[in-house]
Amino acid sequence: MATREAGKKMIMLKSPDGMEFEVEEAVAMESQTIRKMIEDDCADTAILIPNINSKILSRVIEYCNKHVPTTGATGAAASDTVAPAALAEDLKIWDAEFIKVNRATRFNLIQAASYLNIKGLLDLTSQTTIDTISDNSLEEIRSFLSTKNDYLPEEEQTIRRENQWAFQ
Amino acid sequence: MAPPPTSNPVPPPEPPSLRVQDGLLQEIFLPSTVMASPPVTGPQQIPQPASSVADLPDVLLEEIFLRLPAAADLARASTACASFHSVISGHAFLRRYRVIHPPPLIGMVHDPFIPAQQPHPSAVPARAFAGFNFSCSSFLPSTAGRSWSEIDFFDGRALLAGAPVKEESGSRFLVGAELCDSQYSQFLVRVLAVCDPVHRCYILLPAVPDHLKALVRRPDLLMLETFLAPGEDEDDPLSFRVVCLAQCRINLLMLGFSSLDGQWHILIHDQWSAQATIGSFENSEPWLSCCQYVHRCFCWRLHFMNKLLLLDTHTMEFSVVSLPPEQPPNRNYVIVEAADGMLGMLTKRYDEYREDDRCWLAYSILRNNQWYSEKVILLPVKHAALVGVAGGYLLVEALYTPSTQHMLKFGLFSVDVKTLQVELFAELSKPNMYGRLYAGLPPSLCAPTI
Repeated sequence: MATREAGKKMIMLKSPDGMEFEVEEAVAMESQTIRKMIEDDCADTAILIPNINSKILSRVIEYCNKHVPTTGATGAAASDTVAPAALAEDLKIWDAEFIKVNRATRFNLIQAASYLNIKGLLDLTSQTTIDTISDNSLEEIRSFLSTKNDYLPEEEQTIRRENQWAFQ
Repeated sequence: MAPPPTSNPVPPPEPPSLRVQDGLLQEIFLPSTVMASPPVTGPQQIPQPASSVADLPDVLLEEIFLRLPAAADLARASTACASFHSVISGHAFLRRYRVIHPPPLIGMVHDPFIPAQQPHPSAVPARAFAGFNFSCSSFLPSTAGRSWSEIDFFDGRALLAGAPVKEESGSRFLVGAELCDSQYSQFLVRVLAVCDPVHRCYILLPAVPDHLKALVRRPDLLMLETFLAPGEDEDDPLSFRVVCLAQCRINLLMLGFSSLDGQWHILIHDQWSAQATIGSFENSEPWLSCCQYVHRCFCWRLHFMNKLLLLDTHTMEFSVVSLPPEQPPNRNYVIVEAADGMLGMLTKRYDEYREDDRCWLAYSILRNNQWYSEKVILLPVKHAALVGVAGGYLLVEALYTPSTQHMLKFGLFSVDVKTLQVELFAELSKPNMYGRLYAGLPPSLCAPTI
């Protein structure tokens, strides 16, 4: 339910497993998908996020809470006195901690970030994933990304030959 | 192409009972088994998580792979599993990747090809071109009395001209290339082809229509240049133009072939608008040279004047930029792309009063029509010559002394135009000035450009 609390507009987000999260509208609007719904007046009541479970959704909200542009009103009064560079540095450290999650959670966060269209979170989660690809061997890539080699033997030979230059 | 889930297959999802914009939500729905379950109460019904990257939908895999910094990373990811390969080898994906990660300079097209050598970062993608045949004449149709020659390389395409050849005492001669008269006759009779050397395919261009040819009067033609240019439609990676620039005594004619409509058009034909900018003149020699492409502009040196002429390829409007006083002659400087759409310039300088012939590059940036000196880059070489700019590097050919030896050697050095970092690009066994620079992604990561 859209309610008002302490002068701020609140939005209710519901996960498919029945959990409800009341968040400030500004926080929810970090998601372009939700922003569009709000702007199109489709969000007068609770917004059901149909495919993100409560565990992931709560992490996403945590991320948005941290990244919502801070104004004096949100209670982060520190932003008035802290230099933007220091703030950005603080966010970076926070992001680095935030993304210390297991692979499955990270993949779910990627899906959620994409679905909810939260660019910063998609950047963060994707970048963390590709960092595991860069400069690693094939076996390490497969293990980091939990993928299996599902090539047919002759297929694999062709692909390997084509890309041999990348392995020496 | 995501493989089916390995455990707990869930029945196909029903449309969730959404109160909000079903259309919008379903459009961006993620794969069934992972997410879409109808809303239920009770925390026990948590949707099955994606346990592997390969379970992610292709559009998300694309998002992730687009961030891979190096072509080699992309190639390794592509080898990891079939679903990755199917995403990475998609032409639409490869074209997006190419826009975000402009292809690196990998070497000089020469006979044989001179690739980047270890430890240069371009050496890895250059390995993919080992033994690669860049020549396009082998797959172009051969016509009696014609011979194909390469006249330009740009953005993964080669431009070739099929010019008439004369046979004399058993040898074939290209009908002259130096004299203007022969340029004129070539303009009238040659055939142009645009080729993709990696995919070995080509387009033969239609002849320039007679009424356009008639705009060039034989006695007025000073110089004819033909080159590849980006297409009008930036979002279409397959679009390109071929530009034919005729410098005449009192005017300038620019004809352009567009791949979008397959026709020749007049791009510029006047006593030229630049006349207003640089004053009225009549020439007896060509007055534009060293064409470069920077920030969507063609840029020429204006002879007899210490100036650059710029042509914006969007608006097709000319502008003129003054060079700093005491700018050395043509081959001693190049124009490069600086940050924020600004023009940069790298100028080779020698210290005349020192005996060791050390040379350096002076880097300056154009701001408000003034060149500001930004940095001096010492080159660890003697007798440097600037070869050209491609794939984010200025290539310099020079004599240098390798750290392990005392003998002077020939080598190519690259200067990163963003970071201005200087690195050894390749050792040379002999001097080697006139190859074309090739920037490209390895063949397995190239979508066709035609």
